[in-house]
Amino acid sequence: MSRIRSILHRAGARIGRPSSPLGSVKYAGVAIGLAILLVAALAVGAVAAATFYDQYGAHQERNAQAWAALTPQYAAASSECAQCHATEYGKWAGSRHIAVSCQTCHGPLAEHVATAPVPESAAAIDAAEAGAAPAPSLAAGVAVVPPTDALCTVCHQKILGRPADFPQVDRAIHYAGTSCLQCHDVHTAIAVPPPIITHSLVNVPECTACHGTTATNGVKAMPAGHQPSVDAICLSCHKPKGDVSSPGPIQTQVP
Amino acid sequence: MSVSRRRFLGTGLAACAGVAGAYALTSLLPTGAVGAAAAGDAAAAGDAAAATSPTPSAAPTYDPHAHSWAFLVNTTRCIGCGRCVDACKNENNVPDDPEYNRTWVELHVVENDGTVLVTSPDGGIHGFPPEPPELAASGATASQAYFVPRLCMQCDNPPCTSVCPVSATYKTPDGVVLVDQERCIGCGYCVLACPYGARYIVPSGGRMPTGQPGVVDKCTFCYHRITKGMRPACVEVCPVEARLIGDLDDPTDPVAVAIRTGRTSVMKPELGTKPRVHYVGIEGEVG
Ligand code: HEC
Ligand code: HEC
Ligand code: HEC
Ligand code: HEC
Ligand code: HEC
Ligand code: HEC
Repeated sequence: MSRIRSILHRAGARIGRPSSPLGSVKYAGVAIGLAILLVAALAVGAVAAATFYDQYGAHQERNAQAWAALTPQYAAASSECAQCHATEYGKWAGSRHIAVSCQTCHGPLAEHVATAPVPESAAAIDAAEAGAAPAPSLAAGVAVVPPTDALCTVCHQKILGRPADFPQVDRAIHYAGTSCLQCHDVHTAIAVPPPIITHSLVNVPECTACHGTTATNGVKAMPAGHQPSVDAICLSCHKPKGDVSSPGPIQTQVP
Repeated sequence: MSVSRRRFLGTGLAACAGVAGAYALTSLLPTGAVGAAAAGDAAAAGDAAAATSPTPSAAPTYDPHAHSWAFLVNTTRCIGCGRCVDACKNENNVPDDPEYNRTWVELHVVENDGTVLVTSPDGGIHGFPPEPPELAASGATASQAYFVPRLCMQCDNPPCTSVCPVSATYKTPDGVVLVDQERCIGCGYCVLACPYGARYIVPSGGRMPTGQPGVVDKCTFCYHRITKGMRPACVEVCPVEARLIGDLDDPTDPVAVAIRTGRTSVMKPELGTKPRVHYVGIEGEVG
């Protein structure tokens, strides 16, 4: 902030304020020199003004240039992320979320783009992201915090005034209670519907007693990426067949 | 300061060679005036920016006479996510306090009896509730509802600049109204004169666009971005192209075409302010 301020202060300051320097002149030679210098300065200013902002005062031209000289916080475009984050960029570029700039979700990253080290390969950066390899240190220490799913609802919650053709869901019935990120790939936005439970849940043990991490007795295993957990958690995504009382996949997209 | 001081002396001495007593000048001139008088002023400011950031400084080749900026807001597309409000604050150091905004989003609800309810919780920065509480409270039903992003209209006939007693606010040749926050005395006349409520006085403490409290601030179309060939931050983050910047000097620019073919309208046209911000979908709106 002080940086921006000092730039403007310097560029936006002008002759004659805060106080006339002539008032404190002690030597005649200085006064003459000063007068000539001021004239010269005005002439120089006029030349610059003639090139750029001539119908306005010189101080306005300088001020406009001071505004123009401020440092952008947001990088120019999502394409600037491509060289280092090819994986995310590739997924995003082929999806409907291409309409959403990387920085809409990730925040202002001009400094990150400018200071982050270029990774040796896409594989290297993916490994760092997965925590398999140490992340390259970021020169300026720009911490990029991946957002949480509260972000999704700011755009996709069904609200009054949102154009009807925009994809939106009612959080209270669209897989309520489960994080958006658990089902949706954020960069493509695509989600696979969780299959409906094909059997009764009366008098059965815990789900994971039958659906383990490997298929046993011909019963399907939980797919990779599933965490073994309590029934209530499984049931927030998987709805029993014919269950119309509890919200679930069957009813989600009914307008 | 030392850089521009040196530059200044270089320029000044070259311009008036042989002036006696010049040696004493730097100590007599007020610090600000030294920088201001220097022809290399903008360049020095640019250097300072470059020294602290790798982003290019104000393009020295930028010619404000070769551009004419205009803005197009499409209210039929806006989803009221408020990402523009958030991005504007981040980009321009606008105070966090939701009272102060360079841009904000309103929800306009036309009730069944024709009254228009306008709400903008926190300027829309956190999005909007499923339904405005005011609507439920009044018992009315909505016959129409849409979001209206707001910003400075960058009028070609700006009421704000003419009332400024110190000419601190002015219009650039490329069509943007700016405020010289060093010159501004914070009297607030322009804030009152603006028919669109686009100006505010920077509160002290917290984020301040130029670090200066008590002065007037407003949307600059992200002057530091458009002069470098970048889009304003709000345009960059808008997920539905509800906000677009365009150059009227470029005949093929889509925004220029849309405005020229007359499919857009402006707010409060009866005031004769000639806004550069055009709207799609607000016909008959009060604004
Ligand atoms: C010059 C290369 C480079 C560019 C350009 C770049 N990044 Fe990065 N980014 C990195 C590096 C290196 C890291 C740190 C390693 C890591 O955690 O992935 C990182 C980290 C991140 C992270 C955090 C990842 C995590 O796991 O916490 C996000 C999010 C991110 N960048 C987004 C972006 C976006 C969005 C852009 C474009 C605006 C961008 N980056 C441009 C190199 C770059
Ligand atoms: C719709 C919002 C959204 C958009 C648009 C978006 N991201 Fe992300 N991104 C996220 C979220 C949310 C996460 C965190 C995912 C998680 O925690 O599982 C993330 C994670 C990341 C990560 C870290 C990945 C990891 O494995 O840790 C990187 C790098 C990244 N994004 C880069 C990008 C780039 C580059 C773009 C543009 C091409 C982009 N993102 C666009 C929301 C978004
Ligand atoms: C800044 C607004 C924004 C945010 C934040 C956002 N989206 Fe989107 N989303 C969009 C836009 C725009 C589209 C494309 C709409 C279109 O094509 O009409 C979209 C499309 C989608 C779609 C539909 C994709 C399809 O192929 O049908 C899904 C699903 C989706 N987003 C999920 C998410 C999830 C999950 C998150 C949180 C990680 C998220 N979105 C965050 C704006 C956003
Ligand atoms: C249990 C998994 C799951 C969770 C959790 C989930 N979704 Fe979905 N979502 C889906 C599936 C599957 C679809 C595809 C349509 C369907 O079957 O409902 C979908 C579709 C969508 C769509 C597209 C709707 C349309 O009209 O095209 C949006 C937007 C969306 N989800 C947003 C979200 C958001 C935001 C969250 C978090 C609040 C979320 N989803 C949580 C699985 C999930
Ligand atoms: C007594 C063992 C048992 C228990 C306990 C059990 N299941 Fe199943 N489940 C099966 C069998 C057997 C099938 C049908 C064959 C198959 O799909 O593997 C099945 C099918 C399913 C399917 C359908 C898979 C598909 O192909 O579409 C889902 C989803 C499922 N179960 C989820 C659950 C959940 C969630 C729980 C806990 C609430 C649970 N099951 C508890 C044995 C069990
Ligand atoms: C976040 C939502 C979510 C939760 C929670 C969840 N699942 Fe799933 N499940 C899915 C989705 C989505 C699929 C289908 C996509 C896939 O195969 O990855 C699936 C698939 C399955 C299948 C079918 C696998 C196949 O090969 O067809 C079984 C069995 C299953 N889940 C069991 C469980 C059990 C048991 C639990 C609780 C421990 C559970 N799930 C929790 C979302 C979820």
